[in-house]
Formats: sequence, C-alpha cells, structure tokens
Amino acid sequence: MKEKKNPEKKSEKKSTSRRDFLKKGLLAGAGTVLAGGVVGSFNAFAQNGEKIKVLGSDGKVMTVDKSHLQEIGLKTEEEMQVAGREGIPGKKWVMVIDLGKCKNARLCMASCQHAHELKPEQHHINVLRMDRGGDTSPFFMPKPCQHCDNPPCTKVCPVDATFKRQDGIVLIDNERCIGCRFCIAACPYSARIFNWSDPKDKEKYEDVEYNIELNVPQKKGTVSKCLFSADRLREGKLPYCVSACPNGVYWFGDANEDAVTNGTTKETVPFKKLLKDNAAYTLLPELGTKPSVYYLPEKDRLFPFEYEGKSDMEDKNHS
Amino acid sequence: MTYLNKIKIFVLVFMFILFTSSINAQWNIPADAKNKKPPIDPTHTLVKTGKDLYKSNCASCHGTPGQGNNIAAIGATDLGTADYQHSHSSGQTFFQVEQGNGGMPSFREKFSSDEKWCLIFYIKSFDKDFEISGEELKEQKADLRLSLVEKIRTVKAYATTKDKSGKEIPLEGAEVQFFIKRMFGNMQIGELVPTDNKGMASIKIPENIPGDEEGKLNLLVKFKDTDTYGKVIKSKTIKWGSKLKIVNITDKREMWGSLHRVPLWVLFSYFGMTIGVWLVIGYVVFQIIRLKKL
Repeated sequence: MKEKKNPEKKSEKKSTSRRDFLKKGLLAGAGTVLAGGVVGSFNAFAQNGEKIKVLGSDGKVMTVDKSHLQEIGLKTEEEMQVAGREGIPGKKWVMVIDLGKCKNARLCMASCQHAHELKPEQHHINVLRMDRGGDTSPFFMPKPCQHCDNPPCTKVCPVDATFKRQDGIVLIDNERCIGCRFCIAACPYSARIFNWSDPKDKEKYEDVEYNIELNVPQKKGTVSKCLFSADRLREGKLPYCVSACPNGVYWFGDANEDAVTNGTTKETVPFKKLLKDNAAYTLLPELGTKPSVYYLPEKDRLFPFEYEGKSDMEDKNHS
Repeated sequence: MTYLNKIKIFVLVFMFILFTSSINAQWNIPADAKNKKPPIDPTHTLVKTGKDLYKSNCASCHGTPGQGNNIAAIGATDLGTADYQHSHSSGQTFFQVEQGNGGMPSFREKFSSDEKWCLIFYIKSFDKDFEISGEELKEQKADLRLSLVEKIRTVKAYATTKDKSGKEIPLEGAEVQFFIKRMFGNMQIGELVPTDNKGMASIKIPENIPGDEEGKLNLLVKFKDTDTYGKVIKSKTIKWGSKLKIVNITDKREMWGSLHRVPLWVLFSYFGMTIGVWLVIGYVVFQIIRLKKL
C-alpha cells in the first residue's frame, strides 16, 4: 500500500507546482499586456522594439514590428475537423422540396458545383427527369443526399471516414477516406460520387487547408457527397442550392424550431404544417432510412414539363 | 454524297427550323392591347416592387435586364436592350406577360393587375426616356408599443400616430403583423390584425411553438404597410414556447455509430463468439496433451 501511495503524492506535487508555474506565468503575461495597453494608449504607434521576420507575398523576407502584427481568424485544419465532427448542438436540419415549382433551371446544381469545386459531370445534387408511369405527366426532381437518420452508408465505412453528426448531417472526411466505395454501394439514393481523377483546379487548391464542412479541396481517390452546406449553416445562412433556386423549390430549416424558410421568397412557415397540408413524402421509406429530405408532390405546377422541346419523356417511346 | 445522306440532312434542317420556330412563336398582339396605358404613374416604390417580382419570377430565363445573361436558346430575350425598349410599348409587354407564348408561361393568374404594372415599370426603367412621374404615398409616422397579458398568452400591440398639433393619438385600421424569429427568417403567426379604434391589435400565441431550452421566443411586431407607416419593428422576448430538449443523437449506441458507439448486443455477441471458439480450441489442446500422457 505504501508503495502505491507514493507515486500519487509525487504526481500531486508535480501538478501543483505546474499549476503555480502557470499562475505566475499568466499573471506576468497579464501584467505585460496591461502595461502595453497603458503605454499604447499614450501613443498608438508606440513600438516595443521587437522585430519579427515575415515572408511577404512576393517571396521577400521583411522585418515588421511585433505590435503591428495581427492574427487572421483562420481556423486550423484540426479545429475544423473537431468542429466538423461535432456539428451544431440543438439543431436538426431538414429540407423540403416542392416538385410543383421545379422547371429544371439547374441553378442549384451550378452553385453547388461551384462551391464544392466539382466538375460539370459530378453532382452533389442532381435534377432528374421522373415519370410515375401510366398516363401520368413527367416532372423534374432535384435529388441531394437525403441525410438519413438511419444511414446505411456510415454503417459500412471501414475507417470511420463517413459519419453522422448531432445536427443530422452526414459528412465525409477526405483525410480518412481510403476510397473503398462501400458507402457508394450502400447508399440506396445514389447520392455519393467518387473522384476518379484529379479534382478541378488542383493547383489552385494545393495549399488550402482541408475544410471538412465544405469538402474542399477535393481529393483524387476519395468519395464526395452533399453536405447540406454545413459551412453555410454554421454562419446562419441557407445552403448554396437553396438560396440559388429562382423558382422557390426549396424550403430549409430546423425541425427543432418547427420552421422552414423558402430560399427564393424567404418566407418562413411551420415545417410540420407544410408537410401535412401538402401530402409530403420521403424517398424509399420502406428501407427505414428515415431521410431528412421531404418531397411535396408535383401538383399546381408553375411550369409545364419541357425537356429539349418535348413535353414527355424523350426516351419513353422510341419512334 | 449519297441520295440517302442528302435526305437525312434535309430532314434534320427541316426539324431544326420547326423546333426553333415553335419556341420563338410569333406574338400576335392586337392594336388596342398595344396602346393600353398603365392606370397609375410609376414611383420608386412601384419600380422596387416590380424588381422584386422580376427577380423571383422572370430572372431565371430573362436574366438581369441589360446584362445579356438571358437564356436565348429557349427564346427568352434580354429585356434591358434599347432595341427591346423601343419596339415594345408598355401595353405590349403587359399583354405578353398576361398571355404567355411558346416557352413563356402565362402570368395572368399569378400576378394581380397592379403587380403586372409594377413589373412593367421595372422593365421600362431600363429605357433612357423612362421618367418617375408619380408621387409617393404620403408617409404617416406611426409607432408601436407592446404589452403582454401572461394569463391568456396574448400580445397586445398599440399603434399610435401624431396629429397635426403633435399630440399622440391612437391609429385605427393599420394592419399589424406578428412574427416569431426563426433560424433563417421570421415566421408569421396568425393572420393580419387591423388595429381597432383604440389603436390596439392583439394576438393569442399558440401553445405548441417550440422555443429554446428555456421556452423563450423572440417576438417581432411590425406594420404590414411599411411604405405608409415606416419600418417600425418592435421585438420582445416571451417565455411561452415549448422547451427544447437537446438530444444528441450521436450519444446513442446505434448501428451507424462509430467504433465507440457500437450497440451492446454486437459487442457481446462478437466477444462471446470469439472467447467461446478459443475456449473450445484450448479444451481440445488440453485433451490431446492428456491423451499423450496416458
């Protein structure tokens, strides 16, 4: 027993001395800052004499007075990784897509591809031509990742690269992804894409820190997917696709607040009432994936279905 | 070139002409429609209303006027060019918005007559000769005061204005809107409420509105007609919302969870099987050793 007690005591002593050291250090630091503030208030451009060597954007080394330096509020990659895995507490993001309003303007796709540095053939969100069969009229259906509450994709990831956060978003970490594409196979909505070749503007993004909430820079040999614009949500803004739509197709909001906002008209309505009044549905509910994306049926259409000059599915009946 | 190829090319050209002509269908505009004049004169406010309507309904095809970012392939013209402005009278554009033609949908039901004229004022504002000739509606400075009645969950808004002598009098018949602040916008609750002869408009807050963790809601009250009464927005924090319970879904043990959140039955069955198999192997080896010793 005696022997066991000793190391504990030692460590206690150690930690107290460390605490003391930190306290002293903090006090000293606060003192310097205070003194600096007092001096600075007398002369705003007072130089404390300490010079620092800085590498300028033109490659020349310059000396700058320390008091003139300002830290830029950029997050390091590690901070972004931690915050990106955590999510935003108390939120549950939902999207409602009104199919009666879509006329295939494809601005949602364009703004998404621009934001996430995707090539024209790569889609985080895609506008599909749909047909319910029989004599029904075809319609356009935007399809992003469904951000399932019971996601099949994250279950199959062998390296914990794709995951679900507390605010309901399913993200993927490029740094962990090994490119096995199990998640692509598992996703029943075909929401994921694979970077088969080098991403767009690879040279431009060589030195950019990887942002897990934007999935930029994209990386060859990894999977990419819709992120519900997690970076925009952190700033309190609507996702890229939602705010780009010119026809009021998208509603987006927080289910915990029971409110969704239209990206075009900026009108805010109760979320559950919108679903109830318009007979909303989810895609493939029989799979039990519990999607966070809801669809309103294509009634009261604003625009007729027209694709390449034809008002029906061009590949419906070959002539 | 074979005869068959010639026919193919002929058919292709013919189809292309047919296709483009069906989209750029000719407008047949009656003379009286061309000479139709707006019933009101344009003002800055009306042009602004038209701009908002244009942005959300027309810009997706016609682009920003004068910028040339219209989708010409489907027959949508740039409405800001001098060419367009000179060849189209206000009445003509009005007719086109009402009727629709080819690729352009009809907006007869979508917009009211006033809204259509606002839209045309905005389009015409790109003409050099366009003049803002109308007078703005007179502003009547008004103010709002809020009071809460806890027992019946009711918010009362008192609208006041000043008479000629500068004395404060209640404002009657002004429409007041009540909003709850949400993440991406303000959600209107109830209908528009006009103020009564005491200048009061009241609304009962429904019980099921989700608030924050303490049930707090951020209430905003303003006049509907901001052009007349000014942009008066009053806000108040009320505690009548339902309390939000923050549940971290990633704390639960789920199949989709990471290594640290494996469901317990998976853990038990996996380790149970592994340990069981090794025990059997160990038992067999032990028996073999005992066999040898015999």
